[in-house]
Amino acid sequence: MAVLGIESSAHTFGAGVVENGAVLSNTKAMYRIESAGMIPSRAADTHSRNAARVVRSAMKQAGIGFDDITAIGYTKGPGIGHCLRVGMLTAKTLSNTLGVPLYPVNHALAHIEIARHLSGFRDPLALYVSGGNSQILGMVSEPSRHYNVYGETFDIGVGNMLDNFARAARLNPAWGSSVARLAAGGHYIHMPYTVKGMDFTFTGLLTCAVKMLSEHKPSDVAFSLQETAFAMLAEATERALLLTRRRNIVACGGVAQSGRLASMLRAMAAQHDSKFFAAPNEYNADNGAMIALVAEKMRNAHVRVPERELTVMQKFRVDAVRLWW
Amino acid sequence: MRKVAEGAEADIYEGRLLGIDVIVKRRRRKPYIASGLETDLRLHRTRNEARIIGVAKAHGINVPPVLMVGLDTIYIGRIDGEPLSSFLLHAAPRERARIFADAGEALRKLHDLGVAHGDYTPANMLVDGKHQLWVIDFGLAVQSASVEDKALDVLLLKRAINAPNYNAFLKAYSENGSVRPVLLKLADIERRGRYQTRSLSELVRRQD
Repeated sequence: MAVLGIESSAHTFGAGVVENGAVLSNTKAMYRIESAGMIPSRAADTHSRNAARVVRSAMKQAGIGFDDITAIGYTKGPGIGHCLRVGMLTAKTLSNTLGVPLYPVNHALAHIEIARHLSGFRDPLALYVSGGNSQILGMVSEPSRHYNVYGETFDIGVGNMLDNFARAARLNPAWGSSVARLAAGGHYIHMPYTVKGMDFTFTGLLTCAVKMLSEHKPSDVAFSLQETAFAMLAEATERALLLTRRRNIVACGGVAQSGRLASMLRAMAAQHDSKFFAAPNEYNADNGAMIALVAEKMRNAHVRVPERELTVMQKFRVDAVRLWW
Repeated sequence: MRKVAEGAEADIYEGRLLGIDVIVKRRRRKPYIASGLETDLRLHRTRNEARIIGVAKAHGINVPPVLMVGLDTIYIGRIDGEPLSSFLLHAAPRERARIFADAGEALRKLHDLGVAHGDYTPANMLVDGKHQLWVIDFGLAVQSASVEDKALDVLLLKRAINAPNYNAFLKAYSENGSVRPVLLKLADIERRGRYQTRSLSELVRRQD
């Protein structure tokens, strides 16, 4: 009863196999980002070259054959159109060949659900932080079960903000961890801090930090930028935690790999007798297993997906997805 | 003094001081935030909040009086009322429209003074026994607010309330032309790609 998941929303092409909630394999190949950032068409080319190999290695690592696959999930969005299409076509081809159902999966939902699954929390508050997204969410049952966005960025995602800064400071990819390394030993300089209730904005902070690079030590700027951005996220999350009276927090998405962010959130949660969980990095980076996990939930809930919905959607909001489980 | 609530940044106490009912708002230390930033936030916000409440009060906006300010503590006169969010649960539609018209007028006055509230939602408004609206919690307020700061005030409220209430609010808010740039900015923010698809809850909210 194994389910195969295929992820290709950005620079990672991932494939993973899940069976009854247990991850049997999780493999990937990445487009190498050069200093120019990600070029969508080239990333998609790389994905098409890697697709077959990655899927095969996921099968091999799981120790199963194609006959054991009973359903397939793929990332429908949000993400980069060129890249999403490669994953969708790979999944459609396999689904048609094997004669198994195909499930379109929301990428953000997959990050949150795998973090929730691994945490063991039933109804946590989720902070989803990646390149393009920064949202605070929780499950609600009205009008039907879905993840409600309590707060989010009004402009850019925190990951893209760090990437942009890193490029201005001429750091090497992967930029998030380069900023973290540069920040070590830095001292605090005042920077704009913008939280609006449970929402926040990052462009003012980014502009200020880039300007400061010419007058201040790069390590001080990187330190202050990182501290300010993460403190903003922690504060907005704290407000949502108290407002929704939840007792558990999970962090997920690429930026949740940051040790500094995790330590801030853990300490904040502890002040309110709440528990904090961040998924292992393997699942916070883009991966196929999380897509398989959600596809399996959809299969178990007998979700029927009409053919016309088997597409890609670059701006696919997580709060537009109904949860059938 | 009795602790009555825990906010995202402050602990709230209630008690009596020289015969007056007071609310004491004390900003918690957050040891997990870099110390420079933490002190910056805690002390700046306390001073800022007291100053802005003073400005609003001086211009006839219904805000509670600030009685005393410490480094990280504000003593505020207690308003005997219930949060707007709970008032809405039992108020008649006409009553609701009137209260949101008051909310619109109050925000317009604040914006005309150059102040953005920073968290303008029903959770931060009180309705007293005479059904008067009071605006509270200026912890995130900005004194020399940009047009974007003001537009975000409107957006936050828009997302938190239903369409009839928002319309009542908007009518009073935009009564004179002063807030036109704010509304243009709001349209601009809402056109940003990520907000175009409406969520399930928003779709339902538009229908009630």
